[in-house]
Amino acid sequence: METKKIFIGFCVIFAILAIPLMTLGADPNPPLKTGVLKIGASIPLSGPMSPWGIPEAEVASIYADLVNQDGGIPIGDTIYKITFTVSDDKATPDGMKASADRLINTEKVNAVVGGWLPPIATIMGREGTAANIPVIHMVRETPGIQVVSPQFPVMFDLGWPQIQAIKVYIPKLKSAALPKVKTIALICKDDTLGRTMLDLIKSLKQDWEKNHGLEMVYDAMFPITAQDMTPWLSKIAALPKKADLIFAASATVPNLAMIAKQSHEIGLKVPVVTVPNLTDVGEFIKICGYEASQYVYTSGCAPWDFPKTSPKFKDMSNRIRKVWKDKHGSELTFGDSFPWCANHLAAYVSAVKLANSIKTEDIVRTLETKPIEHFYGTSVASGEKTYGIKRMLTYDATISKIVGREQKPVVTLAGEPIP
Amino acid sequence: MKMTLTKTSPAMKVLTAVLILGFIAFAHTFLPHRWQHICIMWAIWSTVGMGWLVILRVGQFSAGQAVFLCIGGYAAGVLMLKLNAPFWVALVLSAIFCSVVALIVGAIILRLKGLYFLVISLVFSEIVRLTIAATDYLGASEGLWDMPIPKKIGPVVFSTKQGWLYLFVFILILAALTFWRMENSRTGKIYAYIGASPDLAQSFGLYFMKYRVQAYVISAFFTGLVGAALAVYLGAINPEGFTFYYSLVAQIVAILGGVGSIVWGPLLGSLLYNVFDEYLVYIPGARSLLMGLLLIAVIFFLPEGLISLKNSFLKKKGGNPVVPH
Amino acid sequence: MLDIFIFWITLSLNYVLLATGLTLTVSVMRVVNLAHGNFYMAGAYAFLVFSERAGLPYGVALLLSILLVGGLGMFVEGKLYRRLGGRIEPSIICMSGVLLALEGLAVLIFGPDIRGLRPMVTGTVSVGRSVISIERVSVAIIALLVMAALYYFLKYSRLGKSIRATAQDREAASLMGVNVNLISSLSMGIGTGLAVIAGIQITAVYHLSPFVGVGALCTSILIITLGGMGSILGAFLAAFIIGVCDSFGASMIGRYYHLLSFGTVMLILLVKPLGLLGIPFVERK
Repeated sequence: METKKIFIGFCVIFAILAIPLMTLGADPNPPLKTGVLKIGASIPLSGPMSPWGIPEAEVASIYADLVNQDGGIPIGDTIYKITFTVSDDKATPDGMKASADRLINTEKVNAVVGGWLPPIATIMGREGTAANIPVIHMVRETPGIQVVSPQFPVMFDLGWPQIQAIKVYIPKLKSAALPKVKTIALICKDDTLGRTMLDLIKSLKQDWEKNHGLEMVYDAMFPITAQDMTPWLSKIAALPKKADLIFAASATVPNLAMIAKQSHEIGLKVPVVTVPNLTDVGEFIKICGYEASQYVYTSGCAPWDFPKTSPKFKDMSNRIRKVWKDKHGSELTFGDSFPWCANHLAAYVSAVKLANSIKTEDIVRTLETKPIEHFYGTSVASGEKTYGIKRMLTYDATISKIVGREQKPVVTLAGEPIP
Repeated sequence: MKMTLTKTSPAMKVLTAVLILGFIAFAHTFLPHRWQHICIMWAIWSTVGMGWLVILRVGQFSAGQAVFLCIGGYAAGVLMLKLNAPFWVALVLSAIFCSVVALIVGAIILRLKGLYFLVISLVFSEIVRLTIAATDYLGASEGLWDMPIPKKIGPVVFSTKQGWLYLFVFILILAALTFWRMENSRTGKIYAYIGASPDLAQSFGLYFMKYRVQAYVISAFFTGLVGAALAVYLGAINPEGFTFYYSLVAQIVAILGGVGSIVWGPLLGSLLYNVFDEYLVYIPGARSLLMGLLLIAVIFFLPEGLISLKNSFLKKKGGNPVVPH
Repeated sequence: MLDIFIFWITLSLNYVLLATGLTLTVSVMRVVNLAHGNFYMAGAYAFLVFSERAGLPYGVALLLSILLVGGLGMFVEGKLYRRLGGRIEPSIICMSGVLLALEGLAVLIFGPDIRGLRPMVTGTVSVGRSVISIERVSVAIIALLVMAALYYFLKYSRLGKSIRATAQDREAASLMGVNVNLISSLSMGIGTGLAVIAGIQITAVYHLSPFVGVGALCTSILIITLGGMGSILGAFLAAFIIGVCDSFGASMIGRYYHLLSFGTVMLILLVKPLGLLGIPFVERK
């Protein structure tokens, strides 16, 4: 009888001691719920715009993967991982409509980021508004985050860091690198953007002459279908006052290649300054010739070079660069690989984190009120809600020169007060 | 090629009609979005294909059919965005405008011989497109955008695909009936004679230009109508939406389906093309390559188009024989 | 002014190279080869592979490209176009298929980016006050040489005469013992070969991408329509007329300059519906 009592007592004591011991091995924090954020992007993956579209889609995709690898996006008690879907819109209106349909109605994405071809992209804005999901798009002009149109309250224009400061671009370049330049020949392609640029620069004629010693000796527009730049370059070459610099304020990469090449050929060995980014410097040099290419200045905004980019995003952009290099063997150029898509995805992720919610109303409110961090610094809403074709060009830029077979930064306009 | 269809009883016909109309009426509720989109595209390209085919009937190969989609679309855009016209007015006016352009241009170019007409129609299409891309009033290269959504009519709304499904199918039925009647009437026979041999027809006293222009104008009317509706359905248009590739689609649709039948050919061809286009796996370049190879393959293995499958099927079953050409 | 004049001459000779091949194939095959522009592009890409990837010298790479793509053209003609018996609708669709397939292949293999092609010669030469690149001059000279060679070939050689006979009247030629199938293949091969030469020369001056074919096609079509389909001399004249419109028009008119060339063609077609030197021919049925 005695042994039985001792035995039971021992069991009870053991049980009382053991239970707390057992819980020591248990996880103090119970596992979080997991969720999926389906993000869509409509990019031209086929057709003539695809050289820019394809790298954009890939860079954004790499970024989404890295965000997931870093642990996803924690909202409340749920960890969200991003599923990134890209749809080909072929850069045509019906392609855009089909793309909007696919992403918003078929794939049922939580948000659409990126996109090209304003204003056709408003097709996406309309579908997004009907389905009440945020659309973060790129246009070229806003001074801050803007609602694209009162009719599409969920469609936000993030803008992109582009050449701005057309007003100070050439004067800055002159004082930084080309002090001997006194005369400029101006040439633009004949479309809305080109005409706006030309008008804007012509309005600065007095200012440039008086304050910077820059005289505009020629200005012209060329049709967008023109392949050969000879007619205009020969006129520039025949000017009584020789032009020290050719400013192709609005031109496509093929135009730029022709201007650089043909001006060099006819003996106009002067700096050719322009705006479009180059997707492939090596090929560009092959098209216009090595010697001619050494005169070319373009604007470039790689996040890893950009002064306003936060260390966090600089680091992320370098990680993306590494993934790209490991996969392709070549360097990721800054030429249009970040602004259209990855940057908008970054803005969306920032907005979601700040709002601590994936609900559209919360994200929209956040975009309209809070500072949103992305690859090119931080943007705040400008409060405007109109879509205008008139370009205002309000971002900072780094002007780079082709040196050897690379592009090297010459002068940065970031943080400068723009008159 | 004339086909004699197997006869069906009136009850069967009514039932079939009811089923089809019922399907169309409620498609927007149960059909997945992707398929609604394919339906709309199918209706659009069937109509355009028929329009192309009727020009072929009178002996001309139009390689620039997209120009009428373009003119119709931009006319609708200008009327609605700049002149604040209501949708239905814009729709009809655009189609009429398109016909007028076709009348003027057709009177000049339809007298050209086969190959010349082909290239001129192609070049005309490009020239119109480039001119629009250069004109600011028409949006230049950025295009026209934010087309107003038509107001709802009773229970039919245009803010979803419902109204558009109805509209495009309605236009398709209208076009199909018109072309069917033309084909099976005296006009159709005249077209066939002109198409087969214009010189011979002329020697019989048929002044063929009148009929050619007539066919061209009617074709332009329907294509313009579709183009106008398309522009408003999409919500935005730009010159890139009317390139040579789109003219190519009009031809593909009609020839894949079979040029023998003015209605069924394009209907079948459009179905094949749109399903193929939507479901083709995406890899850069592969789409064009596969589309190109498909075209070549179909031309070789199914030269009379998809409807010829029906004939061989009927023949095998011992059904009514096909009346030869 | 001299600059624009020189620009006109060189541009027109570019166009001559482009259009001659097309008009030759049209004369024999009776259908416009819509894939002509993309053979132009394919030839340039073939040259890219031979001269840069394989490192072969210029002349060798040029020759190989002509043989490869010209051979492809002959294959397409023999296996595809010929089987369609000259009926327009299936031929056009088949050619559109070839056009799409070539563009798709180029994007698949080389990607959609624009590229530079190695020019034959570099350097510049002074003419009076103007300076022109030797590259352009060389393209112009090659165009003239090619035209001259073609002219003599067609006029005096036996093969050339067979080609002309077939172009004029296929049935009669075949009755006279000409192997019309062989002639068809050969003229397609020559026509495509000319497109290849044009591609290699012209894209070296400008740039190469899978999408340059369509532009080349539209220009060639406009020229042969103006000149008269099947007429090589017509193509030569038309190239200079369109060249005037494009060179002077671009610098003087601006945005709408394409209307100038189109308007000119339409005007001339009103007066001469078969083009400047076009001759009516019986279409194959």
